[in-house]
Amino acid sequence: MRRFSSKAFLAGLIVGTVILALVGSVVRPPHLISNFRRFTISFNTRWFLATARELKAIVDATPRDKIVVVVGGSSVMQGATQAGSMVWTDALQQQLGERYVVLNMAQRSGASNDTGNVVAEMVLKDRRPLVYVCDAMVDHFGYLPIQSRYQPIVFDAWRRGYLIDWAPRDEAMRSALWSESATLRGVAWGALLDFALNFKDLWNYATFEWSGTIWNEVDRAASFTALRAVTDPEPTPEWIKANMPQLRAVTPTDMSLLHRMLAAPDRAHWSGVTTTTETYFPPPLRAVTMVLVDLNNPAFLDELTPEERDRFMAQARFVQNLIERSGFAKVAIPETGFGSEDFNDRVHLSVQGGHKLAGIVAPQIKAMATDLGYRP
Amino acid sequence: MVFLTYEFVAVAAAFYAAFYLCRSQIIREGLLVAFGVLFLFIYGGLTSVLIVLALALMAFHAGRFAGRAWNTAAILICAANLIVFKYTRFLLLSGVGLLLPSFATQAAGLSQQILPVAAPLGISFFTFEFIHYLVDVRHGRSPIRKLRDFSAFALFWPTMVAGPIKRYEQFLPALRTGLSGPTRDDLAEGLGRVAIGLVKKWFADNLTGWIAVSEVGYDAMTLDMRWIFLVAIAARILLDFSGYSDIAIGFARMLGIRVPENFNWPYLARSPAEFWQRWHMSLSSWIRDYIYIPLGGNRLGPGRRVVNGLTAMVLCGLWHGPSWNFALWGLYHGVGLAAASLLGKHRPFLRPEPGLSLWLAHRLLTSAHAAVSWSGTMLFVALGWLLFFYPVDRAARMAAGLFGY
Repeated sequence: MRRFSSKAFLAGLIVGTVILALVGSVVRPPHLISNFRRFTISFNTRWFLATARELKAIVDATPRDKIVVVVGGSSVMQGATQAGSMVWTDALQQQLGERYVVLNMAQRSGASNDTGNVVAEMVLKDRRPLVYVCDAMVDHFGYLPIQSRYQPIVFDAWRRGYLIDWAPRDEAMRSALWSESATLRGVAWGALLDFALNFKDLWNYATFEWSGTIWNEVDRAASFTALRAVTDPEPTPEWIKANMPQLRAVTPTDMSLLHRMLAAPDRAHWSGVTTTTETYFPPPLRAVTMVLVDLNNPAFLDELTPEERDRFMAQARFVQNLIERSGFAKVAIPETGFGSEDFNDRVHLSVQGGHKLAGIVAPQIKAMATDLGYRP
Repeated sequence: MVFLTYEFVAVAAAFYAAFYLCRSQIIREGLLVAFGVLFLFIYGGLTSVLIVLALALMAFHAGRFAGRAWNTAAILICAANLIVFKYTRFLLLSGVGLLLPSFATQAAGLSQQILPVAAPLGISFFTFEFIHYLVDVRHGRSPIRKLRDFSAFALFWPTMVAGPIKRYEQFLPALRTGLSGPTRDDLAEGLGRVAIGLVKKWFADNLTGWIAVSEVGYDAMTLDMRWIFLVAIAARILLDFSGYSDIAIGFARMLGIRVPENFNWPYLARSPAEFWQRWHMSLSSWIRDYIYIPLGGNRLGPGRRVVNGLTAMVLCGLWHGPSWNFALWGLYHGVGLAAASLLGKHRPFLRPEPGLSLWLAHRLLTSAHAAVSWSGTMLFVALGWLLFFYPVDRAARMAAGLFGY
């Protein structure tokens, strides 16, 4: 007796794959879209990165008559260490008023040319009014694809045609299929396969709505839990207050990071930054982008020598000029008036600091919107 | 794991499509070899390609045309190649370093500059396959006549990275069957086997994450959690390795080619010897045929048998990596095999006796013996995994921790 019919097995495999691909092309996790506030470390870190279609669904869920303010970039912009209900972009939304809708697409360890960039370009492609707000560090701006953990999102969006046509980037994305880096090749091939099979959309949906499918080492308690049930894990102000001495303690690691920022840059480095910027930011996006150069907690900067502090500030201004020369609408160093109480650690803003940043940035966004000719 | 990369899926899909569509056996064989070279190039780099091709050509030539002296030389070159690329640093620092520490450190530094950062892809596997080929031909078996057949054997990509270790006498007929055209059953059963492997890998990868995070807090664990940790380690390595073997065997089967099995429910074994008949079978049979038996096996008396067994198992351990804990793991299993062999000789009460009550007593004793044998074997194997994964002192502390120390 035959154990099983290979004909039926193969037919089932083909039909099943087609059905799953079709299901993947239509499902979107409703809880991600309707309740979206920001991405957190519980998801969208290493596994189950948001797909371009999910991001597009988030964009499409915003009212079309509003000016969209997309916030992208690093954990500073994401509001890391600010509890979910007190994140600075909520304050920014309040300050901007109902005419605007703010989408916080920044990520921990993110860069200005990953998730935020993707969503901003989706808005631009829809011909909707947009202001993109992102950040730069005093030693770099934007990541090469090989450096960013969120690149699958960019490749997915590019493959599905959500990004603006920009020849230098298109060429870089195409050539990634044959990159020397196995990681980058994997990302590029993954996007190509997913374009046909939609498996990431399907898995994200199942994981978000029904059940986690992996043991989650970042948030262990959330392992095998549907991600929609996982709360924003950023610490509460009470926890921050209780742990303030440790958080604000200047450690050798912090100082070595600061020294590295000062030591690394040379002509070749800055040339690389310019190339990355000009390759991965299409000019139409640059024209509606405000870049904020992140400084650090003054209490930490005080540990540097006066000469190092001067160099740090000079470098921040240098980065500002460098980015401005690439055609970005506005580049600001907003944190010069910030005190140590505005930070929770070396670089992340406290709730108070976040509100202060929102207060500084909101009028500038409004001014930019006026300059760009958006209807007030 | 190279099989779990998107680019592999894309490129392999194209390869299978071409393999199925083409009707000529020669072209199919050419495709198989070409994809093997591409696979080796993508995941191992040009160095791997050049080394495998050079050794393959040498082994083919030595087996087909050369005499015994050249055959011996080819075997030695294969073995030396493995030692140089995989064990140079270990031998220098752990062997020479005991006598001449500063010289060993300098030489190890120099070797790092000369040798590639990573050993050629699958070096432990293709070396063993070439040695097996050369030894068997030396013992009078027919060599492979055609270079393209030998190339298909040497560059067979499904087994290239992690086995199973093939035998050419079995592979060639299987290759002929595959080249004549894989059937729908081959495709279905191969895909099914790949799916089983993927499910095992999923379990293994989740366990890996849990183990990586949990091992930091091992000393603070409760006793029962430590035992669960041990079970998790044992389950992880079986699921990971047998999952990989399933995928490799499945990919080969999709080509209509059957390769040897590697695992046969090893955690059902009731003695260390049975464990090795079920665990990584293609390696254990290789060690038996090409190390243990040539050393004399059990033909030279009990003393030599033990020494041969220990030597074979230490080499088996070292095959897994250039580190003392692997050697000790092999030695541990060698001692276990010798001890179990000794114990196995003294089981007079298990002889079946006539009469119902005696028959029942016999059944009871047999079952009890089976349960004790299985438990003892599993405890022995599981404790061995601590040696396999952790430095010796850490493994010893972890093992003591299991018993409350």
